Amino acid sequence: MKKILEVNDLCKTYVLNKRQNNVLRNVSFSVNEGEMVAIMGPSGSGKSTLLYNVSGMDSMTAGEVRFDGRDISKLKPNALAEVRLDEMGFIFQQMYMLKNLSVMDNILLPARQSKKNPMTSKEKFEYCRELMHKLDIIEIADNDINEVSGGQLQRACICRSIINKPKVIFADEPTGALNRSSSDEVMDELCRINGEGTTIMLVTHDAKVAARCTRVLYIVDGNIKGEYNNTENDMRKRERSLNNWLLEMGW
Amino acid sequence: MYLGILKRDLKRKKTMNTILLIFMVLSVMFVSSSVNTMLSVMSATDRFLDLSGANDYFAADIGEKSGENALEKLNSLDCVSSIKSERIFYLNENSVRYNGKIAEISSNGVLNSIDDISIRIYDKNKKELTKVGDGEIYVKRSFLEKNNIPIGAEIEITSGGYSGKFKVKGTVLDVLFGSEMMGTPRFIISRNEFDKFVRSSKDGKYDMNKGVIMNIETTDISKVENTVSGIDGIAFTGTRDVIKLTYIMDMITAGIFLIVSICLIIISLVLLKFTIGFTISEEYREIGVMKAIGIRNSKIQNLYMVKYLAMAIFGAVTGFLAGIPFGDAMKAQSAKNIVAGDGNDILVNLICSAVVVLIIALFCRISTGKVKKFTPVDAIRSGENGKRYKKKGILSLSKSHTGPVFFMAVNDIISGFRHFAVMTVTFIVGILMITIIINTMSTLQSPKLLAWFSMSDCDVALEDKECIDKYNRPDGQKLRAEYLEKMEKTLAENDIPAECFGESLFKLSVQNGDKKTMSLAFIGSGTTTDQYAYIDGTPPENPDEIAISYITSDKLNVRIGDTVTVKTGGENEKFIVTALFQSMNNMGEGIRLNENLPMDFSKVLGYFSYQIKYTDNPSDSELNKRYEIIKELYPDYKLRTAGEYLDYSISGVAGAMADTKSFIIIMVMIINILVVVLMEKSFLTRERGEIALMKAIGFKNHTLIAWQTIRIAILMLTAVIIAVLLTEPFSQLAVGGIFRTMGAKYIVFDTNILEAYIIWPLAVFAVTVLASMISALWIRSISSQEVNNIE
Repeated sequence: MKKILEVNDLCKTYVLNKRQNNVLRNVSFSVNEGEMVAIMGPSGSGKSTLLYNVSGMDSMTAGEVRFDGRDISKLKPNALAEVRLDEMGFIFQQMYMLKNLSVMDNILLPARQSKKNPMTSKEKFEYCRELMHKLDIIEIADNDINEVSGGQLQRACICRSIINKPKVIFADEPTGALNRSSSDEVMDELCRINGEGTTIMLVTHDAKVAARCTRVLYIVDGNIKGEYNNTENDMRKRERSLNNWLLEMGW
Repeated sequence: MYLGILKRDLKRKKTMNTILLIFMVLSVMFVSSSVNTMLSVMSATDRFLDLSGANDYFAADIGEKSGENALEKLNSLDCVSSIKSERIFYLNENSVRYNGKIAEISSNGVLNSIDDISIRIYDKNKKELTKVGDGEIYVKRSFLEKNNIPIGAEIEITSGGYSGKFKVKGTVLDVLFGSEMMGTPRFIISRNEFDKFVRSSKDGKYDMNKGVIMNIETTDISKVENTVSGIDGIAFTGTRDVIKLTYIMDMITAGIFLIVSICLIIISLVLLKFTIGFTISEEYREIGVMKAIGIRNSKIQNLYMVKYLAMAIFGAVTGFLAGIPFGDAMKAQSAKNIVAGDGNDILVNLICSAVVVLIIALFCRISTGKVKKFTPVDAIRSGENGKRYKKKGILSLSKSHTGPVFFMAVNDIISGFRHFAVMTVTFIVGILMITIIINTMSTLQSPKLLAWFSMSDCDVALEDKECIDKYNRPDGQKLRAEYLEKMEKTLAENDIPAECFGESLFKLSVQNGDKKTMSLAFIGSGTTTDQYAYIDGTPPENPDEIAISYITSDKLNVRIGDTVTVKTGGENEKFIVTALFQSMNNMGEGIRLNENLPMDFSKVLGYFSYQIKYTDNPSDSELNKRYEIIKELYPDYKLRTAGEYLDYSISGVAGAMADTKSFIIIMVMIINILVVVLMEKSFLTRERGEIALMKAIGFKNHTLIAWQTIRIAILMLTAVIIAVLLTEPFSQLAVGGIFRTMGAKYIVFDTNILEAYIIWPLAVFAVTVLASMISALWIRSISSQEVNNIE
């Protein structure tokens, strides 16, 4: 299988009050096309920092991240922005959206901004409606972002992240701010999208969410301590097996 | 504890606190200097008259003997308590020479000794001038500017059979002859030098070069006026009010500064209200936390009151200090020919500073007052209680055909209209200040103003400085008409089909019953009365008919169809009033006589230039060609286009206003830059999270900078359009009153489309948008990771 993401000796160091804080220490791993990878670990272990560095949202201190064969650490800011716009999708824990735009306009915005997206404005609009239909949020299309529930808003964020048909979706605790039923709905959608061929890399604290991924990376103190492959088909067994592994890791 | 919170707040929110503090400083500075300028401008002429020792009435007489006669008659009046008289020599159009060439003094000038002058004269530093050295001369600034004569240059004065050379020592501020509108310059020399003119003019033939100015203190002005109107040889009369009115052109500039001051106060208060509201809304989250842990509303309010008051006091002190030089600069620009007291009134500055502090406290109280209505959770949610179901924007990206950046810019403005309205109002006010002054200047230079100065329309004007010598004789009327006919023929021989004509001016007594006034009288040579503009009635077609200005008509209480008595050439004649006109000569007082009325031209007061009106419709290139031909045909005359002639007639007021225009344009640009930089910084602080989000989803820096810049560009463009639409009504409101005071109540402002609506708005637009773009570069420092700061 083609490797969509290769991370080699990734380091990230913050300097605070003249003291060095090595958040990521020589992290190396790779993600294949079509995989759904979860990153887990205790608070402050560097999960989100890893996600932001791998996705080019933050600049690494050392190392190499190859995205679809290109070393993103070498890309200039504009080129990196284009990669994020056209080839990556982002979902955040808080359902960040632009408050002056309606839900639909927020979803449509990256599509309209993309120059690589071959669709016409009308086709983009139709595609946006199609996605909103699929995620069952079409009825809130014209609503203000303050008028909808958290679950609906996170599904809208998922729509926004896939509107340009990205190669990879990066999600930072996508269910962290949702209740259980909303969380399940969001994960159902992410799994469906992954099933359609989009690679997903997400950070989570929730073993139930991680259990739905094909692979789990466990990170402690800026290093990958272990890697778990979900091979079970039965979801209950899968969760149990993952929980046992997490206990072994010190979860 | 509160002090601790405050200290941390000031440190942590450096950007917003600095922005707020700068606005406070600017507000105090603008308000105190503007109020000072307003007070100074409003009372300037009265103070100048008082400081100069001007009495209730001035009269100037021509002729040595008639002067004595006038003094005798006036001294015999019970109502006259004192008369200060001063000997003068009248200077005609070719009396003053610089570098061997005749220097321009519109129709005549006055020569005085410093020891004779009945009022106090001030030098350019606004210090009283008490001594002039032998061989030195002082004169008003506009005379030197008009003739490009530098200080230190030598000029030659000829009058009463004597010529003297004088070194220009300096300029003076002279309440009687110093206004822009008073065309007559006063030349001030020493007593010794003046006596040389006196000694040389003992011969009776120079009698008409001499005169007396009387500075009269009286309890009954109308009685003095009636007596003066019965004295022959009176060249000029005026009450204090009339002298004040001669400063009306100076007051156009001052009036514009009055408007500028009001605008600055409005801008300051609007910005202050917005910034306080804006910064307090940024504090909602913390207010929510304080409420949640049980701190009382009043305590929270007091905490913010202390913070804002501390900043306001610091801002007020800084603004107070900065307001002094700024106010001085404004006052210096607004009243160049007036001594209106020195420096700023510190008490006014102090009061203004205190008022601004109180206003800040009030705004703060209002803004924090909202907090009482919020629950802690509402406050934490930045004042959103979740009950807002009204859509913010009415636009939809899906239906928009524009790019997303332009769409977002428009959508932001519509969604946050109140925030952006503050900037728009500021921009509108700025552009209005510029368009009004440009259109006022353009109106003052427009040929159509000729009609308001009792002249017929023309293409060019030729100034003959020897008119008085040529035509001031009983048969002057015939000679002048013949000369104009000859001029027409000469022009025709040179393939210039044109009509030539000119105005002659008399000062005549006009009476209706017991109401009497000395009024300017116009009579045309080479014209017919239907060639002039009237506001009512029909032109006086017969010699026993006249048109009168509406101000004279009001003064004498006469209407069309009434009869008035005019003393023409020593005899009283009755005339039927057939029309009313408006005139800006002599503060609106005037009468027009029929051209066929025989007049004794030895009594003429002055002449306007020969006017030439082409009877075909020449192209621009032909106009230029003709200009050169006429210049060659009449090398001894000064040739001017109609616009130049008008500007010359009103003593270059439009030119003097050019300095004011530059000052205002620079000020508007600086204000716009300040407002844009500070507001943009506020917006970026507030939108930091959203910018980070857009960066995270792939928006490039330059796209985001364009988004921010387009917003300002749209606001600026809207402001320009609104300001252009408002220019005419606001010009009428702001400057129309000054024209009305001068005697023209029907004013159509001339529109200098290129300068007022294109060049300068475009320049201000460019500067403002550039300032916005440079401010928006701060976006580059925002990282996509900061998305987590979004609220």
